[in-house]
Amino acid sequence: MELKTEQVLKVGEYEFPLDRLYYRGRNAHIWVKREGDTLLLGIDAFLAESAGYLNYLSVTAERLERGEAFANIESAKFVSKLYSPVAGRVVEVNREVMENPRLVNQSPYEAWIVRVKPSSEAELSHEELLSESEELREWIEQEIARLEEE
Amino acid sequence: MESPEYVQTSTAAAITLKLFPGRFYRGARLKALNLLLTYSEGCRASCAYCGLSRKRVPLSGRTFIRVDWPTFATDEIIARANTYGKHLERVCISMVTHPRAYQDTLTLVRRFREETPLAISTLISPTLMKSKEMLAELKRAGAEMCGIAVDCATPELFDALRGRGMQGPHRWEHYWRVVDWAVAVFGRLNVSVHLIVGLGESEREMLAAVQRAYDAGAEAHLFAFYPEPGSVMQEHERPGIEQYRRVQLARYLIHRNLARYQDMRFSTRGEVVDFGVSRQVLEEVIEEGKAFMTSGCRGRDGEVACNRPYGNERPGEVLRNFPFLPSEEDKRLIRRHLGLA
Repeated sequence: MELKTEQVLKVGEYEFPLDRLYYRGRNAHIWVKREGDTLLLGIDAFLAESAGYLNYLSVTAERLERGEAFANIESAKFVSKLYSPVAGRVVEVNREVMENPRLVNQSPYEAWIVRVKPSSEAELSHEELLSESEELREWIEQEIARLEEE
Repeated sequence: MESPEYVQTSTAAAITLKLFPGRFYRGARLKALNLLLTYSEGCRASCAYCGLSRKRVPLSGRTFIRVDWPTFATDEIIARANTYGKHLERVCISMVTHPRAYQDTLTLVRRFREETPLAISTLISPTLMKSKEMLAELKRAGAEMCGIAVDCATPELFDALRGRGMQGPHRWEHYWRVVDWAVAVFGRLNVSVHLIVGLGESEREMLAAVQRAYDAGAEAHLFAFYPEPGSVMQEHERPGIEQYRRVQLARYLIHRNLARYQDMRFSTRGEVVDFGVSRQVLEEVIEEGKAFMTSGCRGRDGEVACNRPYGNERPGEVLRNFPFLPSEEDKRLIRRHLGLA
């Protein structure tokens, strides 16, 4: 996983630091960042903005399966499940973010939700985890168009 | 930051005008902007259930009908309504009980009439209305629908929760007098009476109030009680979903002239046990689904414009008021709530 650690992709009003991967499966909008032998999972700027100010955030699974729900978010007018990009085991939940979910709105790329020990290294190399900026840009542009249709 | 230069907006309006981030669960679309006059001294009333009450515990939150109502400049609201409001049909300007509220409402109604294409409702504070002429002036300014939040179904509850029981200024008889004035000024069914289900009334009492409003020439618009933190009624329970469904269905039958309150039968606890229509009519009404949608002022197409998405419950909960037509799955659940599955 070669990442362009210094760069940030900007699509519309949304920013995507390229030091991490973005999960487009199930239109999940979950980012994954390696930290030692664990992975941090959080919500990307598109979901953080479009979900609205979060009032509730709860982690619902300890064992993660790729494409399966692991958490719920809720704002005043919107509710959604969060889907895991990887299989693995939750080793830590960010208590600060659980107590104040609006940290996700304020700093989506710092407010990680769970720390995960992946089942294997292969978990980070499937095609629905995007690292290439052009692929990421194309997906986010589609998502922006989809949101405008709503 | 006070009205008329500033107004509070519902969270749904703030999202729609892109003043707040967010979107609506299940793709709901807001069709009416709800605006609230704002003053540094707040509302002079002290209603036991209301987030605006002067008796609310300070610092317990600033919610009103469950959500935040952020304050923005009126200029900005108007500009954004014209830019982002392609799905908006109506604006509702809501008074609070404050000595300046009437004049400021007139100012705002005139501005929205002149500067936007939106149809205009006013949700008035009857306590400030001293004559029918005051309502006529609102109509001349550009409002063509008028709402009156009676809220409580019985005079006893009204007096206890809004009147003498709370050292509040509101009086039941005057509210209904103003309903009559409003119907005379705005015309039959261009007036709405807001009623909150779950304040302690029985279904029989609520539906008697619905029938009274309808017979007076007003539509009854239903709200489900939601406890506001810090209000006197913060510990009061929300109405059961079965209760709310029965009231919604019966209200709709009354409004469609399919039944009258007097045709319905009630249990000793005041619950509806017979809606006064055949099972076939009930099935048709449930299948149509509109009975369970949010009740509110109409848009140009004659359908409800004031649809208040997720105004009475958290998104993801069972919806009391659907801001869109219920899906087949929703209707299956509604039949269960009504004991008709």
